[in-house]
Amino acid sequence: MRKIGFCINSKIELINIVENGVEFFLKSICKVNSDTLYWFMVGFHEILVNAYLHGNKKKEKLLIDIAVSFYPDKLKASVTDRGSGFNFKDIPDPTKPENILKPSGRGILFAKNACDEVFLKKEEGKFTVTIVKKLKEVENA
Amino acid sequence: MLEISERRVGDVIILDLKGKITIGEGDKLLREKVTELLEKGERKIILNMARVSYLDSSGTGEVVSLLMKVKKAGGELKLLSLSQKIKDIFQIAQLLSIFDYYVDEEEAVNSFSSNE
Repeated sequence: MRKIGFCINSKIELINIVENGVEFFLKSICKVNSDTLYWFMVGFHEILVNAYLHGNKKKEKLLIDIAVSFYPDKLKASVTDRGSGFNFKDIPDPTKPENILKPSGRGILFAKNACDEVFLKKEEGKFTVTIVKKLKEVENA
Repeated sequence: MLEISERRVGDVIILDLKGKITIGEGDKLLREKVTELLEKGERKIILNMARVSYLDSSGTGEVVSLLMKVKKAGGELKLLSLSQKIKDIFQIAQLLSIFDYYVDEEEAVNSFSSNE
């Protein structure tokens, strides 16, 4: 297993730096194939932005913890914000006709579709979203 | 980072987009550009997405907002050259059906005149 981690203030420029670092780590060091990497990064970007926008509500002083792990059979990322969290059932379905033209509300939908699993964990004063993307056997042959 | 180049074919404006349409950068830039075109009286706009490498949920929402904004102004916004991955992103959000999108630029340009 290989792992990389960050702790950043809630700032979009720092999110971009983290994304570039994670992409380099998975592509150049872990040799994840480009298609798997693309979709994992779609999910990773969305849960990071979710932590920044909805968890920490763009309050720069609030921290976001990030951990990304490469396993022989999967990629995993956990993003922890200081917000009160959410439940899947409370998020309006953005594909329903009444929501389809709304400008926001698609982030978790993208993360769910780009990855194989999305987990939520609420703890005292913090909330974690974890995504998992399975690796195909051929990638590690 | 998103780069936008503008060109005109007849009375149609084509915006050639290059890079990412994501929160905080690309989405804002694209909104400003299309708003500027509407203010100048342009009503036929094509977003050429051939060189768009990534579109996040904010960027997707922005493109939807622009579609509505142009429609409200009495114009039309169409998409050109969606890569398979960008098409997949729109498909996840079930948005492909609300856009007019084309593979061929000439066909996209002519589609405006055929509506008149």
